[in-house]
Amino acid sequence: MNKNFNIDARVILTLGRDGIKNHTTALVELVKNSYDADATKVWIDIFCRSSNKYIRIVDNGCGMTEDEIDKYWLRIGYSEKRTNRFSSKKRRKTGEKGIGRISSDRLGSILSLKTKSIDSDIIGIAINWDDFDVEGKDLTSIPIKILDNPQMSNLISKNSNLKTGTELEINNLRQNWIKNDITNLYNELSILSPPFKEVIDFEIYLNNDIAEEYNGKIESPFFENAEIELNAEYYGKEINYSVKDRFTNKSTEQKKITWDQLQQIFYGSKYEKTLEAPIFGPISLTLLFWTRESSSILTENLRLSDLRIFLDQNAGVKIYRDNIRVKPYGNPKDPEGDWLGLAERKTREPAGVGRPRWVVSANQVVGAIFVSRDNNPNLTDSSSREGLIHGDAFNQLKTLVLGCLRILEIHRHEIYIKSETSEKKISSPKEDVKVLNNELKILKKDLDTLKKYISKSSHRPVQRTIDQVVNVLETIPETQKSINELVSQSTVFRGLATIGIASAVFGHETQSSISNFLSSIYTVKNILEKNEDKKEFALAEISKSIKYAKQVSSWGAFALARVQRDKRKKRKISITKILNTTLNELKAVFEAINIVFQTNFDEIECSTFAMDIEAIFLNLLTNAYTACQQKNRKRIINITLKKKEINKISGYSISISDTGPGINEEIKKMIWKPLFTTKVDRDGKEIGTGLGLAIIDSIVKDLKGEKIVDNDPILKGARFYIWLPFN
Amino acid sequence: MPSIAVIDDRKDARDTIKINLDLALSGNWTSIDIEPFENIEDYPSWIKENEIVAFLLDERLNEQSVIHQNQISYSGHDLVDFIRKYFPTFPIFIITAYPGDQELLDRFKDVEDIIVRTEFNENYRNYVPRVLRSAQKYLDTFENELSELSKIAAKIAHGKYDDSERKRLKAIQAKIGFAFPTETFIQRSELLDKCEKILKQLEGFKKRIDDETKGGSIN
Repeated sequence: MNKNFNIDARVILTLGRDGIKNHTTALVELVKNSYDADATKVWIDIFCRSSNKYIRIVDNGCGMTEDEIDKYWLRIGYSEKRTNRFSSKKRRKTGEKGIGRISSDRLGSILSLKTKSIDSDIIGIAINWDDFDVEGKDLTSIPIKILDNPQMSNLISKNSNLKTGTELEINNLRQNWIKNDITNLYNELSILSPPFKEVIDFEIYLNNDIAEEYNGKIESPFFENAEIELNAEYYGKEINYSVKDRFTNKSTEQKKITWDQLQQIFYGSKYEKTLEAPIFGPISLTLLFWTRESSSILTENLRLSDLRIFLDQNAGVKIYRDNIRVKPYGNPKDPEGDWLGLAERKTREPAGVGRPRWVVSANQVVGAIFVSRDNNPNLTDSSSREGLIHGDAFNQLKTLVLGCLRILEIHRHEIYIKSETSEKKISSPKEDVKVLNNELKILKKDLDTLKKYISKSSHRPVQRTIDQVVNVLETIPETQKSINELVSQSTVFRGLATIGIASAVFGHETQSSISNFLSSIYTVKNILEKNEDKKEFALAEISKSIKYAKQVSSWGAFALARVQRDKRKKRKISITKILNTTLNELKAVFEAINIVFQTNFDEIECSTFAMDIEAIFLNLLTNAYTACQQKNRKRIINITLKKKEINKISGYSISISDTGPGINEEIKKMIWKPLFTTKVDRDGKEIGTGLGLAIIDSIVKDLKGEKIVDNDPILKGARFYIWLPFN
Repeated sequence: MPSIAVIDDRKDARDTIKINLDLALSGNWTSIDIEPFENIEDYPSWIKENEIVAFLLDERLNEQSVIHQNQISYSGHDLVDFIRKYFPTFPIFIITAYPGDQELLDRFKDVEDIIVRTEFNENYRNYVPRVLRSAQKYLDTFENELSELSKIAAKIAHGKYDDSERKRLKAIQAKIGFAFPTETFIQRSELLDKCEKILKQLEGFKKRIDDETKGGSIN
């Protein structure tokens, strides 16, 4: 004989009244049901200040037949959403537990439900939840009252074209609503569906007598007014994106970025296993940025204080699955809400927007990621039902979002730099002093002339000014000398810094050579001590030790040669010879990791600082050395030296391209800035100095040259062109 | 004969280690040195076929090794992770030229030791016995378990085994990474038992038919 469970009537209270966190959540649950019923509009009335206190939720969804009420609505724990995941409008249904409807018990004790489907007349039932608050009674023994001749006047008045819909009216409210509750409700409802335009067929209207300023359609005025907006899509190959900003007021054309290039932006240039293609499905995302300053406000109707309140309430990047939010991601008040670690990231990188490493603050960004459950089977719910399992797909999703955020940040930085440089004309100190000297001479001449035309009594102040100008003019040669010394020192510092960078990069090879040299020596000693007949091995080890000793010695000579005094002076030198000598000295280091040089040099002589040319060449070589190791293809560095005329000025260009991962469009301008580096270790920690290309930039500017970076179409890696004039 | 394998993409470094290793090896022990394989998947079968019982492994495997004009795609730590899936207790010693590299130490938490190359070559008399002890321990465990596996497999082949032996067999297989078609044997043995039962039933049925035929009718 079998046994059966009996269900106590109080279970319904445990699930409804006690199981729902608060009354705003309870109301939101009921609105979710309207969404699942394919409603395009929901009207919510909350009236607490009159004698007739009630909450009414009316929707124009598909309604229910009597059969559906019996089979589904009155069956606790049943969820049609489990078997039929999509609504007729192809909406992914939101709840799956089948208990959302009993959350009305949390709001009030009396519920009347009236509904009309396309196939039936209006049906109504009334429930007094307090009837269930009895001990020892079976759930099924509590009768549910059927309403006689139910009317849906409220629904019809809301929507004259009404054919179907559901109306819930809740009386005997359990809690008195206050303004704060309405604010919370408004916020919750505004994030129930995406705040973005993807969901355009679901509108919520609020009408209440507690905080009337919230009455009307629930929406936010801010989403149209972001300072920068980035939209991106991933459909299995590349990431397509566009950036729009208020400063230029136009969208960039649709751009593409590969998964590995995106990681380059996010992590730097070190590739680890994250290189693999994403395992998540199609995803689209929108990121909106505001500075939280008065410049953020574009229209007269919006106030800065409103914007700040809005950002305080909505900042964060939220995930929407089938257009319904996945909590807790993106909730700034939830400990797990900052799932991208934006706050911690800002603490680590507090640099201002003028610096290439500038990052957004957590409270400056509102974002939404749109995924669908069926196309993203690897983004699965965690067992606690709140959030997703933090597996590979989730981590890759984070990489995607942070990569896109970096694109937005770089865009913002570039806008700032552009606005700054358009105000300031950059000139060298040497030029400034020259201009000042000329202007002072003209001033002195003018003052002398002026003296002829004024009365003698006025001569004294003019003469005093002339004397002052003469004094300043006398100091100018000294100033020019100091500046020349500083420029010379700068050349030396750049040369020394380059040696330092190269030592760090090639240090591994030097250490290897020392290790191999010592190992071979020890081995010869071991063979001799053991007195075994292994003469040929001993000889081989001696040959190796000589080879490695030479390598160490050549590296020492290389470092010393770089700082020779004559290289610090401007004189006529062979650029071809400098390049060939440097390559010969470094050949062993590059060969040790299978890098092959391809060279094509014109014979070029020029009067310049040898140390500057070496610094340019060596920094480009060290970058290519690191880049080549990041790809598992054949390692080649192609170097050319050619005569080239630009704007009728004759000069020469040095180009270096490699077989590394290449440079992404977004960081092309950033790479020249001091301290910007893409060299990171496996944990994402920066290991580059960010000085190499900044040194090149500084030399090119001093020598009035040009620099270009793109990707080599044959070798697929980065290609740098440096052009310098002969004079 | 059990072999200690030296895996390094730089021939010079590999040869030097092998010379010192050979100076200390005696008895049945041998050494073998290889460039890293193109496919990481080739190691497990190579280990089994060549009776490899320990690795002296370089971390930077993709500096000089070129296969079909491409650099190989894995590092020493990738290989350690891969080998551990097949042979959880296989002895691996990392050889490095860079003492005090914290990143390296963090990466290789699951190896027997990290030895500085120059120290190994200078003091091979100390290091090689340590490698051999680990290899011998692994070999003993492997042989004991192989012997136990052989006994249980024989029982299974005869259909005489219990559930604990079946579990033990699976545990040994997982530990030594030895693929053995015992499931098929188990299924076959169960099938044979079933066949035997049906046969007995048929025989009984046949006997009844014979008896009844002799008696004149079947009810």
